[in-house]
Amino acid sequence: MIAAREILFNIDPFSAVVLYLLMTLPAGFLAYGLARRVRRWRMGQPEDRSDNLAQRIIYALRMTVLHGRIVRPRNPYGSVMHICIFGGFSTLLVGTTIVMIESDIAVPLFGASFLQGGFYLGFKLAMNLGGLLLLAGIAMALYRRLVLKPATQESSADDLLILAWLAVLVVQGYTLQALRLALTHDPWGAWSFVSYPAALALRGIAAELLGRLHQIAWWSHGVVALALIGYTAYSKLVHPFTAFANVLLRRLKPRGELDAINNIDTAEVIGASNLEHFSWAQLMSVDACMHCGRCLEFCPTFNTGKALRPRDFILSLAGFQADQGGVFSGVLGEGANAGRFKHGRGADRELIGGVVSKHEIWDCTTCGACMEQCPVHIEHVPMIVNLRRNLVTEQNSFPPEAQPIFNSLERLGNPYQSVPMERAAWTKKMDAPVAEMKDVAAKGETVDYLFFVGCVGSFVSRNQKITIALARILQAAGLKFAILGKEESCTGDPARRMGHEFLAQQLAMKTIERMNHYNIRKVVTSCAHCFNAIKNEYPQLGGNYEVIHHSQLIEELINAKKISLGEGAALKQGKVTYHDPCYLGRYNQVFDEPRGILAKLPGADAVEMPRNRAHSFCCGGGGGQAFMKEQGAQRINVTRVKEAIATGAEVVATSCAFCMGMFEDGVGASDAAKKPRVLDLAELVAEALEQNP
Amino acid sequence: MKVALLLAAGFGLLLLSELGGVPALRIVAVALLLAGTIGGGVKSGLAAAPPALFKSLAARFTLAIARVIAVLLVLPVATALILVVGGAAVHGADSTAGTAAVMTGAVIALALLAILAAAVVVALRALRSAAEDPT
Ligand code: SF4
Ligand code: SF4
Repeated sequence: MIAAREILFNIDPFSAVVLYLLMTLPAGFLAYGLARRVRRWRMGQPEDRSDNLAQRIIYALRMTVLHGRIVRPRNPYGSVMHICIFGGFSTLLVGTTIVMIESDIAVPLFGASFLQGGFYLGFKLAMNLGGLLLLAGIAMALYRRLVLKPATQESSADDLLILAWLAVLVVQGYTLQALRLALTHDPWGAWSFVSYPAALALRGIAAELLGRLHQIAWWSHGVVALALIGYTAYSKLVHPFTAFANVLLRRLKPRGELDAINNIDTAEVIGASNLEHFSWAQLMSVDACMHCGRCLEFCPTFNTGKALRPRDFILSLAGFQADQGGVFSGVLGEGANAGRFKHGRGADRELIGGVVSKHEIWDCTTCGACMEQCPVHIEHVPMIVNLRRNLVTEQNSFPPEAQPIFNSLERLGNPYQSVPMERAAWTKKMDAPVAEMKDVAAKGETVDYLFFVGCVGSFVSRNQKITIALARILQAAGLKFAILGKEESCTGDPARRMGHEFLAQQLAMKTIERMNHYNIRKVVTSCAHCFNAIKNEYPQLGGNYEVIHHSQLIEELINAKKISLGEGAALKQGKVTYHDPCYLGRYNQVFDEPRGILAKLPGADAVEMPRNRAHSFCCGGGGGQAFMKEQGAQRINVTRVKEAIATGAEVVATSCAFCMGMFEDGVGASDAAKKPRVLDLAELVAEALEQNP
Repeated sequence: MKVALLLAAGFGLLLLSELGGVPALRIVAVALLLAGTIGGGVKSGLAAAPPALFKSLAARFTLAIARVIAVLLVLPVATALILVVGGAAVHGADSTAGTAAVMTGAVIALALLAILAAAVVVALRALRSAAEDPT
């Protein structure tokens, strides 16, 4: 006797007809809901995301189905929970599909049954295990939502309803199976190890009653399952579709690269003042948000109580999109979630002001912590900058502090209202002269590196010390380098991130023109923002260089024994903690080299802050914030300085011009009894420098 | 028109397969029906947005019946699980399957009942909070 079961046991043919008819309805609802979303996405601006298809598919499967971006060592609870829900649900879904293939294709068309014997027994076992796995995941999710309540998570009715719905489905499945096992006295029943003991308890009950109950339970299970499919497109359950699509069609460019506006002089609109000004991919991405709140975990604005919360920003756009004819993931009833995500407040609102406030738009430090965390690759920063672009260029609306910055950048090529002639003033403090490119070129010579000093390193007295330290290191290593001197101007980074795209492109083109004129190949910078702009954004405008950050170059020089280090004065004072600048670490994955330098500094006792590397907490200076007034009582740089002080470090090391200013300011504002010194890596190395013989 | 044709053909074939005893036609019937409903769904989804009034009525209607349905749909399994516990209490001692196995069944049924009850409470609370959410 071969192990097998009768499919559609105890179900009459007429019921089967009705079931098959009913089955097609949720498919229609699902298709309708997805199509409504696609209709909205198609209203966005064109953008090509069809390149590298094979690579995209493999990556998307790895990150979603195989949980590559979902599982995180620092959140084992959430990781296990999602694996349980996904694993359990997938097992039950695949199992149901196998039954359908057996009963609707294999047997009727080919007269062949495969759901029997050892495969059938394994199937029973897997289905019972799958149910348990799903129940465990649901229990963990409910416990987190209702008891643990992490600050980054808010539960909507939809979140809870889906979990309850899935739990009911599993219980129904087990019960239905117990009823069938009790009626059929299935000799292989024990393989269904959860429902079998219950079936044994049912055996003393009248078969007719059990038969009737089985039929009713079968219908209720079918209706609950089909209704869930129908509900999928209108709830957060849609995320397997939208999240997969978003990961598959994600932007493949470096995360630190903001897209330039091409042909800016003739562009009809600059930036976004309504949803249709975003690209179709951006419109799709807001629908992929599954409210997980991971983008909030390291967001400096959320963590210091400002208006901008990246999750709510995205969901406000999603809600607005739904109001304009799309579908909102995770709303039950008209107006639900309105308080948080502003869904249901009408399609006629202004995007800026009505949906997203100007405070939210200007709060962002563009640190990228949200994008780094988002499991489905939603990119908040390009959308926020797009809104800034529109505010600045089309509406002439920006914080008043930005006006003098824009004016100074426009007239003088730097944000400090300093005259370009003063750019190389720091060189006078050097023992050995520093060459300027114009003189090097006049002699027909070349250099190993162009040292792109940047505005902060050129004009701000505190940062000039870092510039001098780096120049000393380069000289000690015997490298041939030169600066642009008064020909240098701002890279355009602050202007671009503050939304002044015209100005950003103007400044960048001016610099590129000079660098190409001197046929520059290699560039070293000591500012993480200059580094990111020249490396990732200059190729858009014809500037292609090999760009290296000073932390990378210094580590190279130490490793190659081009410089040797003795015990520096600063390090004799105690522990040192390194702060990862967002534009160096998160945006360009330079994490190891700065730590490599600290490891090689004699006497350095390096300690890590709790938030480090890709999870670093912003200093608050990016996105033009270094020039603007911070909103709210809690300051970002002070928050970060507190974290640094808590490590017991006497020295906070960094490697970015803006971070230096923000830290110095934060240390000044801190009420700690013992305040750390803030030093750039170049200063630490220069202090420890022992000249090669 | 195409959608209606697909649905009609699918329905006809389904009757033939289930009531006429030609099970080989079942998959063709289901495929036609699915093509019809999915096609219809996509077509109307890509068309202009439905009037807001319809949307809001649909939402209200959904919420009202959702509560009733939520309770009705769990009653059959709840009854079956209560029967498991009752059956174990009445016949547990003299069951040929062994008292321990039957009692395990009762414990499992009680656990499933508890999960069901919790799920219904969570679902009803969720539906209520959705209905009460201030706009
Ligand atoms: S870029 Fe940084 S500040 Fe801006 S929303 Fe993301 S995490 Fe928050
Ligand atoms: S934007 Fe990404 S990280 Fe943030 S809530 Fe949505 S899915 Fe989660």
